[in-house]
Amino acid sequence: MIGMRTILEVADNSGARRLQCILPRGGDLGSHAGLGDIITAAVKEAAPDSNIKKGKVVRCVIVRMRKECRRKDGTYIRFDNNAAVLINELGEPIGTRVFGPVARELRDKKYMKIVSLAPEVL
Amino acid sequence: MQAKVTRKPPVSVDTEAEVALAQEETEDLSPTWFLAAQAAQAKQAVDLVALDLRGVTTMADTFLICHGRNNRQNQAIADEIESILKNEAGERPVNIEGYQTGEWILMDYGDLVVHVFSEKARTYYDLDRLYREAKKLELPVDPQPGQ
Repeated sequence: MIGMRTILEVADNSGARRLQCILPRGGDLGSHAGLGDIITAAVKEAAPDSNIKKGKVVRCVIVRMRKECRRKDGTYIRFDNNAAVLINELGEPIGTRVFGPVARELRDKKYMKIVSLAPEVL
Repeated sequence: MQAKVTRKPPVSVDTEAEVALAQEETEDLSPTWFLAAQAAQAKQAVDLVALDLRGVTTMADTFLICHGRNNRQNQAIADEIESILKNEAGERPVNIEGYQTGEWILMDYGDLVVHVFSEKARTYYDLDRLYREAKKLELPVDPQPGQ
């Protein structure tokens, strides 16, 4: 449940550190986004020497979410934080490494490239 | 009085068990990666690497990583792999990502994931280094070496 103004951590080495969601593009009627959905976000904090500067508007994919997500087998998955990975306009990750576990839902939503760069899939 | 115990030394038992386990493991691995490797070689894919990811990650059993000299060649490699696996193994990809641009084409076959990069993208993402702990599989003999 990522809505407008939700603060997210960045789970890659693109240079951005914290994001604020300004437009959920997927999920329930476009008002909330879930795992594997694309959102538009503003960079709130960035690494000092990175190409991504504070205030830049970026597209990203949600890889972890605090709100539990139901799976088809009846189990639920939830994480400790909200986190996203920055992507370019073609849907390819901007960073070269993804930190922390990512949800299996990304594979179903055709973000296998992000899954390949992640150390763990839950 | 000492009792004689006749049994095989534990080292040899362990070795036999290990050999049997290793044979079992190689037999378990699906042969689709081998067909995919042959298909990539047929289209002159450069620097082909097959990685056994069992025990490293749960997302797949095998990664096949290669690169082409340009985006058109990358698309040709992906087309050949798709066609060979469909005709000879009856396997269809769950999804294909990045085919239009050809910079990084990812073909997801469930247990097997094929990555076809451009040279630049391969250096940038450096998947070989990320999965350096994985065991390298022996590739089929290239029928057209040096081309």
